[in-house]
Amino acid sequence: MNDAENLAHQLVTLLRQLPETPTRIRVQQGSNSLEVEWPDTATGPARPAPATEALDAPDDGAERMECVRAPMIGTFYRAAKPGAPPFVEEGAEVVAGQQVGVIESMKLMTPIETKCSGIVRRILVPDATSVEYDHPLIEIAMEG
Amino acid sequence: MFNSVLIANRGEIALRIARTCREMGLRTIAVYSTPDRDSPVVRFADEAVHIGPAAIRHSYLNIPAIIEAGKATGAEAIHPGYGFLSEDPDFAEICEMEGLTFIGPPPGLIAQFGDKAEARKLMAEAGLPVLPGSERALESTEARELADAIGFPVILKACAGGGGRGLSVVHSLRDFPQAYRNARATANAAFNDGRVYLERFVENARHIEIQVLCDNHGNVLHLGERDCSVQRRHQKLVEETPAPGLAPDLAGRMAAGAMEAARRLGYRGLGTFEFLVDELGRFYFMEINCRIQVEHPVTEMVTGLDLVREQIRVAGGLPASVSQSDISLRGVAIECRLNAEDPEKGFTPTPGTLTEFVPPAGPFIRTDSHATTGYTIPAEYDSLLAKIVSWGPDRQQALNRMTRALGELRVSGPGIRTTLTFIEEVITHPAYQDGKHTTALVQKLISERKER
Repeated sequence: MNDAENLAHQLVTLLRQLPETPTRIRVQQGSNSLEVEWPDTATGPARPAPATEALDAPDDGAERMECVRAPMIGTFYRAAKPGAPPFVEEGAEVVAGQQVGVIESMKLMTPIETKCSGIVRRILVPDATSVEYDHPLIEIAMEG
Repeated sequence: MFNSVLIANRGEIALRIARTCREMGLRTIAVYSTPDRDSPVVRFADEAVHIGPAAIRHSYLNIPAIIEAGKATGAEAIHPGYGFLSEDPDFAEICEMEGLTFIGPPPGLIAQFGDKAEARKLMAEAGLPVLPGSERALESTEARELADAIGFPVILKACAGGGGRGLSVVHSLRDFPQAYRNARATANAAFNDGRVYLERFVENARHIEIQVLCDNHGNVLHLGERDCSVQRRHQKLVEETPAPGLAPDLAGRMAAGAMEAARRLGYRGLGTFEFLVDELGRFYFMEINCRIQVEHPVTEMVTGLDLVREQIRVAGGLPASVSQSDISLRGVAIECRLNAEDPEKGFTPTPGTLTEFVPPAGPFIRTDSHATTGYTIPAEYDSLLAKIVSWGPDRQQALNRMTRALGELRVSGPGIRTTLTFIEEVITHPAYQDGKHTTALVQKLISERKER
């Protein structure tokens, strides 16, 4: 096994052992540094990549809506690559943890996942839109 | 020359930079974190981009988010202000790689001077006097031996520090091992770099700095000095130019030394050479700041130059707008920093909403501030609320105007305290009035307060 394969192998093993999903991992091979960034729960509105937030809930017993928001500034794409089918369409059923889009920021693709299960009611931004941090992306009617 | 500037900062300096950009006809782009969404610069700028949450490592230190904001808005240059990414060589380099002009010195120079021990060594080689101390980072035993050889008190400094952070004074050999361990731990926590070096500590010193401006056409200018001796825990509170009560040729010799060093090291952009002057009038180089400084307005008041404009011109490849012979230093300017801190409670920050904020105005007064009535001071950032600057043809008039201006200032809100009365005590103190104050003044004032 060459160095790169060996490193990748070790990384996969490490990832399996982690207690929760990190938001970012930085590996450096020379002098062996490894930085893991955890979801930041201490800083107010900071959200890890799967960002879902309740909208102002209507109190008339209507559907409870949640919104998937941009966890970072970048370009929002609805599909994995140009011409590919979108991750989700309006009306689709989604489950928590499912990928619903991707944001490209500094040439890095970050999968956008929904934190709740339910029905996609509205896609709020078109494909390939530049979005800011916390921008609402997809509205989901929560299950149950 | 570029036509648009993204301002990678917040607070008063972001607004101050945006104002100059507007005057120069440059399109301005602000970036902001969630708690800064109502900040005046967001409204003032031509465009504003929400880059992240409150935590600075996800917003104002978030390099990918800032670069992405620059690309999304078509910005051609980035002004980093002070603090945050202003002296981060990686950021400067990434900007250049991404085709954005970084408004500051080249990344290589920032890296060289960012290591304070290295800067000390370079300056000594360039002929500037330095205090007895180490030429590099030291391990515990060699540090203790050197401290003992130099004589106490000594000051331990983080190699990666700067701006008055990561410093600790040690008074005896007995205290040294513990102080060394603490200094390393603090440096590690604050700068992610535990290396420390040491120098002899001068107790009753004057902090004098020289402003230099170097363009890409071989011009090396100095814009006079600033006296920043009024400090609390190495943080400046009151600054003025010219420095009062120095020996007649001292500031001139310091300026000549700074210019010579800047020339030899190929400095580019706006920079500040910080010196200590001891009681015998000897001066020593401390560090170089590769950025616009908080206290730059006093230099602007006596030179008539807009330093941000000069920074932008130089970054855009233009020559400095003046030559050394055009620069005349007129009168005296004083700056007081108003912080949202409670001097009665150890200067703890007091965030909250301002129900009243009326800055002073009138003849020869300038206020740089992002605060307004209704503005909420976020708990997450530094406590600088406003900088009040006065000018006078002589020191007495500048002081009288400052006293009058501070008396006019009205600032209040639930839970909010400021350093206003403390600043008033500083500038009316006999030592300050006589221009004989040193870096020990603030501590003396705090002790006098406790006795009352």
